[in-house]
Amino acid sequence: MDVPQAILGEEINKETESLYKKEKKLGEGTYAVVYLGHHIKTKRKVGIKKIKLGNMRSGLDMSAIREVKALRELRHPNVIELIDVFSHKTNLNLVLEFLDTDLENVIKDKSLVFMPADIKSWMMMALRGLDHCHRCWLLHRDLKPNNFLIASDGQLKLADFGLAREFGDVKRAMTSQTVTRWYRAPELLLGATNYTGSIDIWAMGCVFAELLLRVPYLSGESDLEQLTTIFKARGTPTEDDWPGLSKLPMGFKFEKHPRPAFAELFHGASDDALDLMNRMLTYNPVARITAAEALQHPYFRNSPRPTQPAKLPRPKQEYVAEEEGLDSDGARRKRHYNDAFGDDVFSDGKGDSAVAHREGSGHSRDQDAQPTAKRMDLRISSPA
Amino acid sequence: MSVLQSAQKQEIPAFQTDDDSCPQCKSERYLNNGMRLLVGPCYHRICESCVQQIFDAGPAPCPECRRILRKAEFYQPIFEDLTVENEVRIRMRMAATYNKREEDFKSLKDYNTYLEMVEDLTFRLLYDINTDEAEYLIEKYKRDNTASIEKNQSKFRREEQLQQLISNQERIKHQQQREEYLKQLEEEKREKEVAKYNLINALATSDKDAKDIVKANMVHLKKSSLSNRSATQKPRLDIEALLRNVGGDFDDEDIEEEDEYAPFDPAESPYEPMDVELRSRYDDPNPAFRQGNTLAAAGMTREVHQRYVIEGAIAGLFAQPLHEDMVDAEATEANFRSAESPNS
Repeated sequence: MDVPQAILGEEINKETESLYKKEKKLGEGTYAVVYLGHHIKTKRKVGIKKIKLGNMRSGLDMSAIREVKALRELRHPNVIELIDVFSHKTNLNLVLEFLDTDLENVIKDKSLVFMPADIKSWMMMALRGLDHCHRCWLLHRDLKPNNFLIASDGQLKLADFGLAREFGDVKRAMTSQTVTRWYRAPELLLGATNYTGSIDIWAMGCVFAELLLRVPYLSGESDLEQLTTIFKARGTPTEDDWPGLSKLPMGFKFEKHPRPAFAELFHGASDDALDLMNRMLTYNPVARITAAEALQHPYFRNSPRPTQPAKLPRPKQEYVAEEEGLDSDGARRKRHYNDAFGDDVFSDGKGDSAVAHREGSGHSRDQDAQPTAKRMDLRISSPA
Repeated sequence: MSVLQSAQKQEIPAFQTDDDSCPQCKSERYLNNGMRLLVGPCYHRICESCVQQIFDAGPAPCPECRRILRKAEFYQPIFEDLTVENEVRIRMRMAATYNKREEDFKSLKDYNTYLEMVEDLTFRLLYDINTDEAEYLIEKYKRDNTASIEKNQSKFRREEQLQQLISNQERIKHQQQREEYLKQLEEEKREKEVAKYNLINALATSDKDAKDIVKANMVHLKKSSLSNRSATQKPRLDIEALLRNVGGDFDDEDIEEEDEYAPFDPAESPYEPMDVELRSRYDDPNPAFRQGNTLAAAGMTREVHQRYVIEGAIAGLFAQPLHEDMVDAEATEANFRSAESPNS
């Protein structure tokens, strides 16, 4: 070889960089800046996500690696497309599909009225995307309405794979401190380290409920509170409906809450919708419906038909998208999601905090993910 | 249904007899010719002035059955027999909600079961059997089918509009035809008179043979009436123009509906699922699953793990190698599964 590998790589990198032009800044978060740009030749709009490397103390940020790694493997109409990656000086730039808005904006726009068929359509697109991730043995681990981006043609796409990782290997423990709290599955809250796609399904069930209610369904103020909220909403689980419950790291005995009637809260929903939601929010992760099974559920085949993506309601004033669910428009998200995250995430954006949170799911910690600190205050009532 | 609607537009007079009397104030039609007997939702007759007196200050109990009623709920019944009135009203209400038609169903059987269900609910309402449950079912159906109900309603409205336009147009055409016909008759009559006059004149003044003159004039007369006939051909109704007037394309909607029933798979995916059939038992060296499944509570079952290992081992085995000229989006797509890291 005439050209050394390193130089060749740099040239390819420069070539890639010259393909795109940055136009304006869309938003800035603690860990990345997002620019609107376009492909110079095709004029295709793209979002360019510049990962701040800042202090390279711990090398490249984990979530950036996770994101690139996950998105390079995924190509699906309902998953955001990673078009290119290039570096500029010491910054890593991800060129992503440009998407106008997200599901959170849609849910929060109270002037929009959702028909049952609209909700069905969103759920179907989200489940298709998720099924694809799970088929490729990838967990998303941060499903929530503002990570469901919506394209200008109405297609819903999963985004923000900063917490995504491979699953299926029993020898590698994973952290249980993942997923935004309101959407976190009970087995995570109880400290499970060998979870599967069922944690994404729980989050999906919460989003389903949120689409029907127009407010977050299970909004606990702390991790402990979150469990109580879930138990109040869904009844306290027992060894019968969740075998092995007491063997989980934090599987203590909890205050018994009776299971309230599900349909009362969701009085507008049809029976098949409630049945599907019930299966998605089942305690036992093994019995919980999978994405592929959910798509076969009669809910999607029964009338009404899912709305065509192009005909779905969307916010009137188009938000200039915060690409990729970053903490870009900090204030807006803070208002809505402050409580859902661990306290450290929004502690006035002093750089490391968010990274620290995200790194909580990093490899180094995965090996011995035992959040011992929290173990003490999890006892709600003394064992009977 | 249309009978009642036209009744509401006061096209059908309300039922009344000469010996009507109000059960409350006992005033009789004999003494008060303009008296109007009204009924409320409980179907007890009461005259208009009594209603005014009792219910003017707000909801009050019915003097007969003590049910709480409002002034706005009273109306003039059309039928003498109030059970008929009741049934017609219930049916009208049902028809407004259950407004599907045969073409909305895939098979006759579906349509029949639908009709059966509607009839069953109607029957329950009519004879007060499980009314609460029936009302609940109706409410639920209404909620679940808001879109299709509204769609059908607007369809009916448009059809009705169209029907009205067509009949209006037809009436106008008829009138025009009639006028034209009358005009023609008149003209013919006048022409005949003129011809007669001419004939007499010719007979009187000409020196030709009388027979020839009569013959020539007769031919002329016949000709003119024939040509008139052919000129008054019945004009055709221009339905297409009418459709344009009503607004909205009927055809377009039909196409959309057809499209809606095209086969559709919720689990549609651009990729084939990996076809792995697990055996019932493997010699799994992993201790996690040998000593009773301790990981199941977190969702990790033996099957999930084994599927992961096996899929990881065989993924991409039969994928084409990437050639330089093949490195484009499609090739990446075809080979994307080969990117899976075989972790076993």
